[in-house]
Amino acid sequence: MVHLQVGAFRQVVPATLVYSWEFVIDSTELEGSHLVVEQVPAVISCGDCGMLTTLSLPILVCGGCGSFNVVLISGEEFMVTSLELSENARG
Amino acid sequence: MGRFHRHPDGSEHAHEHPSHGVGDHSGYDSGPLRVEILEQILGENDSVAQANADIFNRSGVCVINLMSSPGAGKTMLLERTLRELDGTTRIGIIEGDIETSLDADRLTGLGAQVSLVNTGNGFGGECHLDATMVRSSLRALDLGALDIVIIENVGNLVCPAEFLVGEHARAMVYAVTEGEEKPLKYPVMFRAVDVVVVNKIDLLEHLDFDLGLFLANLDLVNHGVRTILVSARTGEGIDEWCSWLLSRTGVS
Repeated sequence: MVHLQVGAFRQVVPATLVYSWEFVIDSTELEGSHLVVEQVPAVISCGDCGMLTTLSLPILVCGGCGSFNVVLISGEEFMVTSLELSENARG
Repeated sequence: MGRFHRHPDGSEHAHEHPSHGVGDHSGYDSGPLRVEILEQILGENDSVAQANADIFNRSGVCVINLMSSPGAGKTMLLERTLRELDGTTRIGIIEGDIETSLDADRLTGLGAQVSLVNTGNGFGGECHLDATMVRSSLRALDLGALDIVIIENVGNLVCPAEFLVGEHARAMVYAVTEGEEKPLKYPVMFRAVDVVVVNKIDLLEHLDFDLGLFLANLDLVNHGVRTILVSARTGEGIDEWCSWLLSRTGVS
């Protein structure tokens, strides 16, 4: 198992990535391994009222006070976080 | 042995399991070992991009990554830019296109060094430039003799935004014929840039385009981003765009 994080602000479609992975690893030492994708929501932190807002739309405005003075604190992840390794390579 | 393992129902734990010689235990015997990695998937591209940036900085050249959808007017903007700055600023162009040298040909003979990168293979190709492609394009440029390099990326509002190439700033051309909602549909691109050049404003009188609504949508995804209204066809606003470019010179 290969564990990934994909943020909401990355233009990566997890289902497509998982599907493509099967073709890429075919007949390689990784055959039988799987991708496990954790989708990370986009969260902004407000510089005025301090509130955290989880975005359902790509609109970077504080859900508390309506301020534009916000910083994206998660949602741009695109990384491998961990591998589960198996000695008999059964995945 | 106390191995960590996962059950079919998704639960996972470790426990002592003495060998008793019954059943197939091969899956448990070598139960998975979880290793934390934290590796950026685009890390290889990012390290080449950093190497490119080091080259640009050593050469004292400012590099702009110019992106847009196909047909927004990147090449015509660059034609105007080269004419406007000819004789005063030494410009290099890295021309990324899936196929043909048509755009590079349009920019040849205007006083700039032009390096063409075709990303194609057959009649299709990569939809963006990555750091390695930009690296290979540098062979055709004498960076020490340039003040600014503008990378004309492949026309595409999605993938180019994901790949750093070593640039100092990112700009995009948006045409008023594209519709007011585009910042909301392509937020990653509109968020990725330092300036949005709003092109084809000579067509405004013929369109039902609401410029105020577009600018409001842009502000929702990239608050306060610089916008420059131009017509690459008539030349309106080109001086402001060139001033922005020159203001980046020497900035790294």
